[in-house]
This record gives sequence, structure tokens and C-alpha cells, in this order.
Amino acid sequence: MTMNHQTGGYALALGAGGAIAFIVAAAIALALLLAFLKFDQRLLEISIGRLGLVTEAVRHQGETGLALGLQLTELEDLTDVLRRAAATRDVLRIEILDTGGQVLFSSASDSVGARIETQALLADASGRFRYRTQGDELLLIARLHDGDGRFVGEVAVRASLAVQRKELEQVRLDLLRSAAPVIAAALFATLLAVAMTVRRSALGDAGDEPGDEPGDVPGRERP
Amino acid sequence: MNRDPIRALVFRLTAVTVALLVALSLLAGWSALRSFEQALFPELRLKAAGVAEELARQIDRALDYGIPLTELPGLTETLAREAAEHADIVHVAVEAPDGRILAAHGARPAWLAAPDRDAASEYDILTPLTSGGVTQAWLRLSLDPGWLTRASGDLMLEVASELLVAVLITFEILLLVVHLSLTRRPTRTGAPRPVNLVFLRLPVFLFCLSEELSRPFMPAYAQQLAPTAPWLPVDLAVSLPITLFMLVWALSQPFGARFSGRIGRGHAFVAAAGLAAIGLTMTALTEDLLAFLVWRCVTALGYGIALIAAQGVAVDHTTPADRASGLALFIGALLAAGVCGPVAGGIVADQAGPSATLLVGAGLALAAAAALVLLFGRSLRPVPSAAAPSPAASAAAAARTRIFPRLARDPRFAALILCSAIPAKIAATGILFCLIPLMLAEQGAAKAEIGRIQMLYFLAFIIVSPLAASLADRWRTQRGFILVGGLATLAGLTPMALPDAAWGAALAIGLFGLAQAMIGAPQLTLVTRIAARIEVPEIAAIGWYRLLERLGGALGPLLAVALAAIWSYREAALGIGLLCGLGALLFWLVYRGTPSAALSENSP
Repeated sequence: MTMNHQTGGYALALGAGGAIAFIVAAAIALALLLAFLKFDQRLLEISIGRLGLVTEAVRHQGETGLALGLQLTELEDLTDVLRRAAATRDVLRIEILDTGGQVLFSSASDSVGARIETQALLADASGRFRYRTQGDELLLIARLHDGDGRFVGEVAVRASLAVQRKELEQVRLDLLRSAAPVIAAALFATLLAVAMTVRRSALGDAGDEPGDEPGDVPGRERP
Repeated sequence: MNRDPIRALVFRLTAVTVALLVALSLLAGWSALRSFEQALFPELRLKAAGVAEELARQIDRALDYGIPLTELPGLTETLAREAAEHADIVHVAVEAPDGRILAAHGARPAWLAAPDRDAASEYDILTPLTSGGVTQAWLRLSLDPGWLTRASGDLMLEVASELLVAVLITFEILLLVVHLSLTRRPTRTGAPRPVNLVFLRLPVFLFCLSEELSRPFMPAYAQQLAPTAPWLPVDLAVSLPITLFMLVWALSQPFGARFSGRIGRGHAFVAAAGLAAIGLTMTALTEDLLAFLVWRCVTALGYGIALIAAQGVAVDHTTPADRASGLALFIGALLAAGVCGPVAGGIVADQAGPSATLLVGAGLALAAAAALVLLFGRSLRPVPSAAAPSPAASAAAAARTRIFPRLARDPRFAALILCSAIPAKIAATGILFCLIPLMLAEQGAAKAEIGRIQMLYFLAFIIVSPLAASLADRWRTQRGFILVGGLATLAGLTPMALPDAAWGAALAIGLFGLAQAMIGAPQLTLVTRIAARIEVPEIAAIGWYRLLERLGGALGPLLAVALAAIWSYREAALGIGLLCGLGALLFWLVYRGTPSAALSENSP
């Protein structure tokens, strides 16, 4: 083996090893990050499914009154329904909004008359609700229709996601704790494996016929 | 012994990398999934408890009216309706205090303990049904133990597809690193090194990736913008972006070939990549359908010119003897981007939205231009002699020398184009790029899921195409492969009719890719044979073949949405499959009926 071959072999081992180790570590880290994001999404979907039951129950009550020919503003007894429904775990308050987002009835009387921004909400997986998360708070909206199917207002449920966020944070920490050694092992093992592979190839090349310079031939590699 | 040390080294390194990647990812993934399941289960139980509470309230109301449970009408239907709304609930039952089941829906998994309200398993929710404060019966909801497994399976699929992308990117970078390291060694004669075409792969890969990222959401994105042009039917608004893209791409080929020949392949690639980046950026920023269509055309122009320029690099720097391997490098990069793009694009679009994904694409187009400049430097100066014109340039020249009428008059060429090449492209653009994203998006699939399914087409293509090409050559039965490929397209698309949309579509797209992989190389071989027989330049015949099939590709989305408007997405896909199958049969009959063709099939 010539000095040139040795130097080239070391450079190749270092270059290829570094690049591959980085890609392997990045791929594992990215895979875990994506899995975590997907888990976060799934957890939120389940929470929305659970809080959606409350939303649906209130919507059903409201639409029963509307089907009798009452106006939304006339459904005074909805306040009691809202207060009862707001006792559900994690629910902060439940409100009935008009088509412009103004609060008509609420489980917390101090918010009546306030306006809620209902634009730029995301549709949930079932397509029945729209939602937005802000910090630890979830806003879940369902549309109210009268007996003729006209859109007359919305049910808005505000819920705390603090418990889920805490759970999520715990999972994130567990993941970091278990992933860090795996990623470190990936870096080390890849560098070692690539160095050994390149060295074996370099030793093999040393026995090749003179003039065999593979880099001189363009387009040898087929996909 | 004919041994290529670079190929052997890259192969070994790829094998080592894949082994490490798979082993360590499985380890990390297994640990992550365990934590996920532990965290999801309590939330799932809470939700089921909410369902049980709501159901119990309804039943209690009936009990308060004095209706006995055994006489309560529609109880089983109510339980069934509730279970149908929650995929995580497998069994709902109303049980009498003595354990008798009064009404039930769904089968309780056998391995869960026998119904016993005092010892409910962790998968059961038991709620009392009361009247006047007295427990009349119990409502039992059983969570589906398989639901968490399926959710974990979905996660694993996502991770696996991301690993596949990582492996392909690793392979591209490995090729580059190994070749760069070897190129730095001085040559023995001290002469300048020839252009290494392996360096073309990364720019082409990055550039194609910039466009492939948008595959999972482009039709649905256009659908969202459709209200901004109310004068345009929605179906047309959905298909036009893809149709116009294909049309501009096809028509830009002759111009792109001349343009890149004149200013230099490198300069043309950089300029076209810049144009595509502008197109993608403006597409991301626009909220108007008309402007969206215009910017898609600009992107297509850049895309077409860049690809023909890159193809020109491969042609300029190879001789007829090694041209096939040079072009294989180019095609390999295209296919690798086809596998990686939809998956990566779907994931990015799910997390950051379609506009951000288009901006990432613009960044990749610029990165492709930068990679070409860094890797080739000044070695891609204009080649005045243009050692061998590209197929598209030859097509333009052919038009001037009236080659096209000679090709068009040949019944074999007409049969090949009309009955096989055009239907195949219609199917590819109509089903893969248009119907599948629309159908899956309508059924609530995430963009990452759509991307994963689209990836299967390219994956099947990469695996089967070389084998099919080699077998068709060895058995000298290109015509047979085209027939089987056309019929297999029809058969392969039938799983689209399966009730499970995601699995049905995945299976159909995998089989569709497999069927299409059987057609490409045999079509090309027959074109070269026809060219030899009617004495037209082979490269001109290939140029016309490519141009015509791409024009067919422009028809695909239009036909697909028109059929979907009449029937449904599934039936439209099956209709296009039928077109491919019937076209293949017709091709077989027309081509077989030509004596000289039969002679060619059997001649050495």
C-alpha cells in the first residue's frame, strides 16, 4: 500500500464516516421527533374526542330548542345546561356564540357579551368540530343549526390541556433520556463500522492491478 | 474478473449504514412506542368513560319514564350507533344485575375476562344504569386492545418510510463522498480529469425533490383556491395545475435543449433552477387560483429546462458505448427523488402546511443549483459540437426534416403511442398525482399518509423496472411485457374498490407501480426497433415518443377528474385502468398483425 493510498484511505474513511454517522444520527433523531409529534397529535385527537362528547351534548340540547321554533337568544335555560356540562373534567367554560362570535350564554356569567375569535381554526379528524390550542388551553367549536338547517350560532368549549401537556412533557423527557445514548451509540458505531469497511476496501484495492483508478471513469455507478 | 471497487465500496457502506440505521431505529422506536402507549391509555379510558356516561344518561332517562330495559325499543341500535362513532370501542353491552346480556353490539375480545362487573379488566368501563336511585342494570364498554396496536403500527409505518428516505439520502451522499474523495487523488499522467457524472446525481436529486414534495397535496391545495375563480368549474380547477405543468414541461423540452446547448448546460441548469425556485415561492404565497396556475407554469418551465439541461450533461459527457450508464445515473436520481419527495413533503405539509412545504421546495431548487456549481465548477462550459444531441433536441430537428410524418404513418409506432404510451402516462398523472391525493384527502387521510402511498409507486418501479427490462430483453418479448403490463395495470387497480380506503389504495398503487415498471423499458426498445426499420434516427424517434407520452400525461388529470365527476374517485381510477388494459390488448392485436413486427420479435 502506497503512502498516497493510505492518505486517501484515511481521508475517505473520515469523510464518509463523518457524513454517514451524521446522517444515521440525524435520521434516528428525526424519526423520534416525528414519532413524538405524531403522538402529540394523537393525544390531542383523543382529548378532542372526549371533550367533543360534551360539545355534542350541548349542541344537541340547543338544537332541540331551536327545532321548537325558538330563537337562539331565547334559549335562556341553556345557561343551566352549560353549567352542568362545564362540570366535566378539564372543561373551563362552555359558551353559546352568535354567528359573529359574540357570547350569548356562558357557564361563567362574566364572559357574556365578550367576542371570541372563531376564524383560523383547524378542522378535527371527524370533521364535526373546529379547534385551536393556545398554550395549555383548547378551544373547541361546533356549529348550531336551527330546524331549517340554517347556521345560527356556535357552541364553544374551553378546556385545560394541562394534564395532557404534563404527560407529554414526561414522555418527551423519557424519550430524550432513552434516545440520547442510542444516538451517541449510532455516531460511534457508524464511525467505527465505516472506518473498518473503508480500511478493508483500501487493503483490497492495494492488491489491484496498476492503473486501476476507479475515479477516472465517469458514470460507472448504476442506480 | 470485471470488478468495480467504487461500486463494491459504496455497496458495502450502504449495507453497513442500513443495518445500523434499522437496528438502532428499531431500538429507539420500540422504547418510544412503549412510552406513547402508556401515556395514551389513560386518556383513551377517560374518553370511553365520557361515552359511557352519555349513553347511561340517555338510558336512565328512559328508565325514569318507567320503560323496562327489556322493552326499550332501539336499544341495540343506539349502542351500535355509539360504537360506530368511536373506533377505539369494540363492545358495548347492557347487562342485567344477574349478568344476563340484555342488549349488545360488537364482540368482546376473548382474552378479556368473562363479563363480571366486580372484576372488570382495565379495558372495561362499567357504569350503573339507575332509576329512582336504584341500579337496574350495568352498561359495559370495552376498549379495543387492538386500537393502540394499530395506532402504534401507523407510527411505525411513518418511521419506516422516513427511514427509507434516510437510506436513499445516505446512498446519494455516500456516492458523492466516495467519488469526491477519489477525485481529489492526482491522476498518474497529470492530465485534467474528465467530468465525473456521479456528481450530477445530487443536483438532479435535490432539484426533483423540490417538485416531488408537493405531490401529496397539490390537487387538494388547488381545490382550496377554487372559490377565488368561481367562473372555473371546480373539477377543472383541480386538474388544471397538473395538466398545465405537464404541458409546459413537455413543450419546454425542444426549447430547453437548444437553450442549454447555446448558453451551456451548467448555466441553463442554474437559471432554470432559479426560475423554478421563483415559481415555487410565488405559488406558496399566492391566494388566487389564476396566479397559482401562472406560477405553476413558470415552475414547470424551470423544471423542464433544468431536467433537459441535466440530461444534456449526461449525453455530452458520454460516448454511445457508456451513454446508457450515464443516463441511468440521471434516471436513478429522478426515481430516488420520486420515493423521497412525497413522503418528506407529506410530513412537512402535515407539520408546517402546504405553503411552507412549497417554500422548502424553492430552497431545495436553489440548493440543487448551488450543488451543481460547487461540484462541476467550470467544467460544464458550452459544448459547441454537442457530441450527441439530446432526444428532445433531436425531436425538434426531426420536425424540421419531416421525420414525424414518417413515424406517424407507421402503424406500429401509432399503436405503441396511442394504445400503450399515452394510456400509461394518463394513468400515472391522472391516478397517482390527482385521484389518489383527492380521494385520500376526502377520507381524512393526513398528507404524510398520502405521500407514503404515492411513494409505493416509485418504490415498486425502482425494484421491478431493471428486472423487467432485463427479462424482456433476454426473452425477446417486449410486446408481451407491454400487454401484461397494461392488463396488470387494470388488475392492480382493482384493490381500489376495497372498503378500507387507505390499505386498498396502498395495495393498488404498489401494484400499479409494479405494472407500469414492466412497460417503460420494452416501449423504448420497440421505439428503437421501429426507428431502425423505417430508417429514421433512433434519437429522433425517442424524442417524439417522449414528447407524445408527456402530452398524454397532460391529459391524465383532465380525464381523471371528468370521470370522477361522473362516477367517483374509485370508479374513475378503475375506468383509467380499463383504458390501459383495453389499450394493451389493442396494441397486442395491431402489433401482432404486422408481419415485419413479428419478424423483428423473433429475429436475433
